[in-house]
Amino acid sequence: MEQLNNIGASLDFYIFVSIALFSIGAIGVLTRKNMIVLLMCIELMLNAVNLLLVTFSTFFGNGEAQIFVFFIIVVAAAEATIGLSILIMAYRNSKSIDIEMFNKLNG
Amino acid sequence: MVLFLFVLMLLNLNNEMEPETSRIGVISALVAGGTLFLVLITALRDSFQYGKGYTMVKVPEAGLVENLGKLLFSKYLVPFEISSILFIAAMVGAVLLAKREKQVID
Amino acid sequence: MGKDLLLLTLISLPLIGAAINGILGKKLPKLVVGSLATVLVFVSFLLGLTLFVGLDKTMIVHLFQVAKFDDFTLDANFQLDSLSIWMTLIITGIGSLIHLFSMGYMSHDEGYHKFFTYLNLFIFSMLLLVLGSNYFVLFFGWEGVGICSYLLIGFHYNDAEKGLANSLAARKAFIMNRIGDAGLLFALFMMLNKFHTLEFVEIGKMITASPELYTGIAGAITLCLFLAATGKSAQIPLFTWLPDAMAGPTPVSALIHAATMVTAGIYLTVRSNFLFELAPTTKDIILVIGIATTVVAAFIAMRQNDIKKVLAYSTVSQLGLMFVALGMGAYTVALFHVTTHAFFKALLFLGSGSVIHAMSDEQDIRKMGGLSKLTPITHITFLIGTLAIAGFPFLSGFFSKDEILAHAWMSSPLVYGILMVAVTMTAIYMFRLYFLVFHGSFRGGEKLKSHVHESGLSMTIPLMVLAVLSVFGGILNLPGIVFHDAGHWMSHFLESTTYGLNQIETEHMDGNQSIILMCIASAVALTVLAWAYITYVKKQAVAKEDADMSAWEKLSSNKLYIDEIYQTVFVQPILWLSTTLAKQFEERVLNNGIFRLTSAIEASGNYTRKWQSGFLASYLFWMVMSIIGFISYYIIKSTFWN
Repeated sequence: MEQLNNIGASLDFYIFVSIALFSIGAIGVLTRKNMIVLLMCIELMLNAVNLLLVTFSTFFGNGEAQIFVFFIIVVAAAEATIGLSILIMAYRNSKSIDIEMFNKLNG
Repeated sequence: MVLFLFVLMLLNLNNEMEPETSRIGVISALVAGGTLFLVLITALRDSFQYGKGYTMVKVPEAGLVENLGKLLFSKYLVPFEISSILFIAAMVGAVLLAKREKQVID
Repeated sequence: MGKDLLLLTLISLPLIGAAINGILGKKLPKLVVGSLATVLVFVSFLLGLTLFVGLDKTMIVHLFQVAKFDDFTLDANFQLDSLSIWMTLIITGIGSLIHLFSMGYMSHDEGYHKFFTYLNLFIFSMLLLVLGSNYFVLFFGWEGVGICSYLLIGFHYNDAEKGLANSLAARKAFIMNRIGDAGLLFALFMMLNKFHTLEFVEIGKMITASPELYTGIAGAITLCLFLAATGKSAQIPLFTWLPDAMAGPTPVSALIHAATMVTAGIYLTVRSNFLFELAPTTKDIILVIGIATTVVAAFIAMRQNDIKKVLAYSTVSQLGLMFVALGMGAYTVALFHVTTHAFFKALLFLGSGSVIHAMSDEQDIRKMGGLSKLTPITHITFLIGTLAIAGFPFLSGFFSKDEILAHAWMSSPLVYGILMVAVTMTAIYMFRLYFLVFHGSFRGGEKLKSHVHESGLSMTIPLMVLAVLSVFGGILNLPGIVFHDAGHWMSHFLESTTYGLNQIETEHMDGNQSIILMCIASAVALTVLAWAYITYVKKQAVAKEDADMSAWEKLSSNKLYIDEIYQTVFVQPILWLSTTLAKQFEERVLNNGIFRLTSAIEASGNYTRKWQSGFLASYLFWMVMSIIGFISYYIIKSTFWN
């Protein structure tokens, strides 16, 4: 019982860490205007979610959540590929990586 | 992460190119992020185990790579294969997008 | 070929003709267009004759189902019985003669193919009307003939002089008919509600099975049906469109506005006889309206100076006479008069058409006179028509009118007396018309006189055929006194298969009374003929100019001021209401309201437009704030409201 309680307590830390990671990612997305940093912050938020999934997967003894984490990683990788290639294109065209240059569609 | 490094190298950025950020924007973002943090903590408060004494179902093999592999190649085989198609699509898309403009056949 | 196929062919032939002429008519030569239309209608007539000869009992042909609802269906069914085949014979028979006449009459017209398209379409709609086995198909035909009538009245809508008047006349006919059609629709709805079917036979069976169940609703339904009949058959109060409808070409007046379409109201009443028998009040109303119409129209006809207007009011008057017969429950008698009237009124109209054609489109009888020598065939046939309508002994009109008068005598002497006045007036205005047009001296000037000529064969043949029919049409329904077995042949024929008619007992008066009444009628006709001869031929009287007229003549000449009364009572208030609404309501309420609304929407759009700033950071900021808001909402909700 002692050991189990310890595991239960350590679950709290995992949750804390993942929420902290998510919030840091969000703050990064909100503050920075560098597109590369922005993409990295999004990755950070995704990984926070992954962490939470894996934690609960272990906690409940169900492996399927980890499979989902695999798929999330896969999709995130694909997304990063496309995002970065768009970024390169944008950089070639404007010699800038400021996110504010995408404001041509304002009302 | 490797991708990000490649891109950083490719773009050859320096300090002057770092976009300016406004002070109000940073403060408001910090406030928003902090609130988000607190709200999420509150939302997940029922999950915290401290002092509750929940018992965990002990399945030690759940996290083993062997079991994951078996699961991945039996029950989740179709999504796995589909994700490979997604990868190919992403690769082709990335290559097409990142090609030099002069090489694009008009 | 089976009977059902024969019947469908009969109906569809005019439609085929209309389609061919309507699509290709512009490119085909006039002779082909005209003869195609004529021949198709004539073939329909021959098919009708075949069916007529082989008729034994009521037959219903199911074509297709139009619509299906919870508790009733609407079917395109056709009914073959003595009544429908009788009407079919009149329509196609007279119709083909008038088609033939039109080939000559319209030969100089630009819209030749258009004219024949409309005529064929009219025949088709009319056949739908009389051959349908339920009120639904009847309503289709009813509207079809209405639209054809509208198109043909306004046929010369682009005429330089009379185009506007023609269009207005067409519009008037259309609107007047709409009022009646509303009545028909109401009747249909009530019947669907009560009987859950529109089939004539089934409704009839339901009513004869338990008449006491339906006495209340029958009154309402029949009133609505009669309103429809007043619209289509030009009775008071909706009769003013018919005289104006004479703006159309003369064959149209003959076919639609004298022989066939205007008798649709009578057909409708005869068809629904089982309903009318349950509603004695409605029958009384029909009687009164019929009497009023026949007298009023005959009075107006006495001092009209347009040859076609005289005939138009005469038509209204004769239709009134038929409704008198219907009001007395003498359905077959009314149909007998429909038949003979179709013969002699078509003849008179075609004769007047021939006169107008000869006079180079002059319609004023004050400018005619002495045409008997110039147009001999027209003269003789017109004389026969006049004698027939005036009730000259042993011509067709004499017998049919006599039947109605005999019924009136049995009903009440008062009705008989009023009808005799109307009949006398009929004789007066018809002989006046005849003598003014064909006798005396020509009043139209020498230049016009040199142009006057007898019409061609295609116009005189129908005249001659109709003249023969007008003379011998009475044989169809001879009174019982002459030949006991052969008498009332047509009545017996119609009663044999038409549903409901066989249930009505028609009284027959004894021979002596009948002979006395006939003698009175003959005496009246002959007296008026002698009087008219003395006045117009011996004394050479001519139609007076407006200034010389006495009070009653002015009243007659101005059509009892009924148009003016309608104008004041109905048209002016509605116009006033419309203009007031247009000025006050639209400008003040609608315009202000709508413009305020649009400017408010525009302002709100301008304001919200700015939210799309294009700054990614602000979008993200609001997104995060919204997520915080949502999660907080659920947290608060689960904490405090559980």
